[in-house]
Amino acid sequence: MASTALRRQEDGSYETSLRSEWKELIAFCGKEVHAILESNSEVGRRLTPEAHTGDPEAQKEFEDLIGTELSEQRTADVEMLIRLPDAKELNSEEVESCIRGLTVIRQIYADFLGMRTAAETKVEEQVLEEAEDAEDTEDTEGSEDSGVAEDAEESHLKEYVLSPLNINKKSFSQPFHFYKQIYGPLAALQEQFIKDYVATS
Amino acid sequence: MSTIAPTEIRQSVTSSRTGLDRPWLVVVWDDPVNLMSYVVFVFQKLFGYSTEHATKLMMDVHNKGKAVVSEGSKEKAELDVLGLHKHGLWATMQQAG
Repeated sequence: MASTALRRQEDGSYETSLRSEWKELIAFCGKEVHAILESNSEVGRRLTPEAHTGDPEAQKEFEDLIGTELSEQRTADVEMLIRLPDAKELNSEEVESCIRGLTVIRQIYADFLGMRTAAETKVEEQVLEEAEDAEDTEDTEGSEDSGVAEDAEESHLKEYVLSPLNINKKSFSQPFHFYKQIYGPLAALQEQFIKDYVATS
Repeated sequence: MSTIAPTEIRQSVTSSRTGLDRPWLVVVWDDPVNLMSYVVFVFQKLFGYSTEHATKLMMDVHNKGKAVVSEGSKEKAELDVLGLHKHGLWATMQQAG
């Protein structure tokens, strides 16, 4: 990853200094998460925390008050990430939208990885390590070819995005492994975005 | 015309505080996803806190599991919670005890 993710230009706009592979990977993750948000699945619903725990009546009142504002914001933030590869420059709002969008992606991937509460995380880290070890063992015993046909987009990402980023090619045939591999880099990327933005805004 | 002398009503400070005048507290809870730098960034952006204060609150969330980050009317608390939720933080609101 580059030492900087953002550069502020003289006119106040921001230019992303990310490698094109990173932008493509972010956009791919954005598309995947966008589909989840649009599907109104259980995973997406878990992203909405309760404002009033233990008080269903007050919670219902709060939900009626906010309506679709929260879900619309999330969708807009993820859509900003999908547009990132084509964005020549970003304004402040768009940079902040990218930062929030990365949170949405990481929250959904964390859910896939079983990291749902801070207390569970340490336990889950151990589980993740064990699961990864198990996957590695399976890999040494069998072929990387899962037999699952991959579409053109996945094929392109494997060859031109994941491989240059040193992300293992087997990722798509083993989604758990994919999320495990990119969760950390996405966090590092978000950290860099925040650091660069705060330092220059 | 007769007048009735007003009766002095004495109440303790605590008992005189009704549900209406007790402030609402906004609590942010620890979660496994949000980065420390991101939480500080959100506190500064939403509440205008200094880096030092925002960092202290973030560390409270991290070390104690939660922190009260703002308080005020119910309407203000609702707006603050919504703002925090929009940024992916786990926030709840409750009336001060």
